[in-house]
Amino acid sequence: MASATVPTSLSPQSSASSAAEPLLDVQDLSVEYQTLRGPVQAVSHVSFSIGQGEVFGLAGESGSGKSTIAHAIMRILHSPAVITGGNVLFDGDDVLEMDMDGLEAFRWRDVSMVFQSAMNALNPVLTVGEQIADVIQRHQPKTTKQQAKDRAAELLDIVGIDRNRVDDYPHQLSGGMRQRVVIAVALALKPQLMIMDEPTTALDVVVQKDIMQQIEYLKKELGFSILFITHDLSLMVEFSDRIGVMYAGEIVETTNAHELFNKPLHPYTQGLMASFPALVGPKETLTGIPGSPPNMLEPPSGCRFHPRCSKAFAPCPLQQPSLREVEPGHFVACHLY
Amino acid sequence: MTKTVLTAEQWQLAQSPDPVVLEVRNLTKHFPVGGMFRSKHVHALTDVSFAIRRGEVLAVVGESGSGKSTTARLIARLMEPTRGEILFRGQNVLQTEKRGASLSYRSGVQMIFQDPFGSMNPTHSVAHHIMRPLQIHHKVERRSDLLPRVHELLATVGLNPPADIANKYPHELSGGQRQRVAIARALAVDPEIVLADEPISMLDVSIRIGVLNLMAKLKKEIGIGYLYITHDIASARYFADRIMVLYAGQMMEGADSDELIGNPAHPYTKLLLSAVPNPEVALGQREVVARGEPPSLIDPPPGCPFAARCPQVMDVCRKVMPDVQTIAPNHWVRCHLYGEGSGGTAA
Repeated sequence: MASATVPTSLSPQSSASSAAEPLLDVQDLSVEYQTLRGPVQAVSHVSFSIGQGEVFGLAGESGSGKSTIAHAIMRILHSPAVITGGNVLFDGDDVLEMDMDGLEAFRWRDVSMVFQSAMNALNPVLTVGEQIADVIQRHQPKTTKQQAKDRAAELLDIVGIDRNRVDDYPHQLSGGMRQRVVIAVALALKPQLMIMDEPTTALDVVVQKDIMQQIEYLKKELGFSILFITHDLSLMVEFSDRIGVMYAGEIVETTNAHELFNKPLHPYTQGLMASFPALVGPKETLTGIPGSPPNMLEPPSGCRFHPRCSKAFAPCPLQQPSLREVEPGHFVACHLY
Repeated sequence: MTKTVLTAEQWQLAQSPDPVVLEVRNLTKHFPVGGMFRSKHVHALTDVSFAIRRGEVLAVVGESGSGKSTTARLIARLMEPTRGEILFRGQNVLQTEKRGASLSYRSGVQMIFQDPFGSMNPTHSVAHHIMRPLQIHHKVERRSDLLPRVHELLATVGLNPPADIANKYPHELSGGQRQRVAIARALAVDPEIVLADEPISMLDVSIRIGVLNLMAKLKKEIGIGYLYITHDIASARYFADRIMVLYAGQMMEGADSDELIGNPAHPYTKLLLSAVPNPEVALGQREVVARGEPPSLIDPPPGCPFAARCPQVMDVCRKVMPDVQTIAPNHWVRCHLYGEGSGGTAA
């Protein structure tokens, strides 16, 4: 099985790549939604990097800022969202400084994106082959129609769809196959980084497993990096090399996937872990996390998690903890450490 | 096909002395589709039978299109089955209440929907949502008792302070709070059975367990029995006493929760379990037993619907749908790999 060997075979690679120049380096990124009722700090001073061939996971609940970060990296945020600070370096170039021509080259050729509920992102009146070919011809104008179509068929092959379905319309394909087509579109220009925002959330587990294995296989063959966004912590731990856990617009903990799973340090991460019933092992009564995620118009003072935290003490409501390296490679923003 | 009735006697918690509250036999729903003559049918659900005892949770798991929600909607009588029986407190309600569910059935069998945003009217307060069933079902004697009862119900589902929550409107509540209001609304009529159709799948992950724990508390304290519909087999293990697996509208396997997950017998159940992301199982130990996707439900061919994907498929599987075989106490399966082997004959 493709994913079977991943954690061991990738861990040396990921530690090596962290020493080298990262492919994507997000530094101190902040994004604000300027709403009528006041500014909402959707992303606050977020920093992380992704190495060559590495899978970095952003975990968090709805509203935690995961998707906003993905959109900021691609520079596809719409008003009222405004990037209020930070840098996004791709291969050394600052994406936030790029002009339209620069972005044209950057988007899809360097970084592509698989959107949430992407199954519905396909145009119903074009065949899947036309939609893949369209991306190729848009970015490589010298390609002939026939070449683009051949390449589309080849890409369908790569994502595990019979190449004869190149002339099919989206409605002739199942949900899982449509999602594969979207991945083929994302692969069309051989990007170095693929951003996957909840790529399998709308799919059944069996199809999800199939697609994640396919992505795993493609990543090994083609060597791209992935920014993987999901709320499903189990899937994330299984699939990612390193993980950043987000809460209310901030990264509160980041380390490699297995360390995070075996030894979560932040009370929020611990709470998330205690929110997923296990399929094996002793049956324990889980507690989840009391309360609900905060209203971002009026985020709590100090540590944004303190009203829901069972371990909160004196400094928590007063002072915002910063991300500190508590153990080698294990960063936590919490006054307990 | 009708002979594969699985009665309550065949599948029950041996240790449970509690009475069966709800039983369905050969529940079937075929939707006509296609052209003017409606000659084709979607076989959404075929011959599903089970029983739920007082204070018991039966989980129905399966992928989309497996018939899970159809099962719940048929029992809630939101639509009429093509055939089959629904027995509530021993009465076949499809016979006795032909013109639709009676008030007493509706108060006995309540439903919680997946979408806590869509199941509430945005122009009415929380109090209004809970008062309506109290009034319609005459659950309070005096008007002055209404509001105290609303507060009591809100406190029961953990919404505090109840007086504040009662005055709020749905948009002022989080998803988890809204789902708790939906539960309070169901509780208002003192139901014996609650049909919970994916009640936590649209909630934020950190608050899902809280809602499941609340439902478990109500089961224990009030004795509510649940039909828990979910695609999340780990949550079924957490909450349910028994699990039944549906595939393409057919019952495939059922057992006590731990037995089903610990000793799955049907190749489809094994596939489903192998696909659940689970960081605790070493990745190398997991194998994928089948690929592909569920078949079309429009006039399906005879035989087992899983045959096309099954790694252990035999000739007989494409011809005859296997009968129910009991392979261990409280554990049955419909698969030709078990029992007499030749298939088609009852065990």
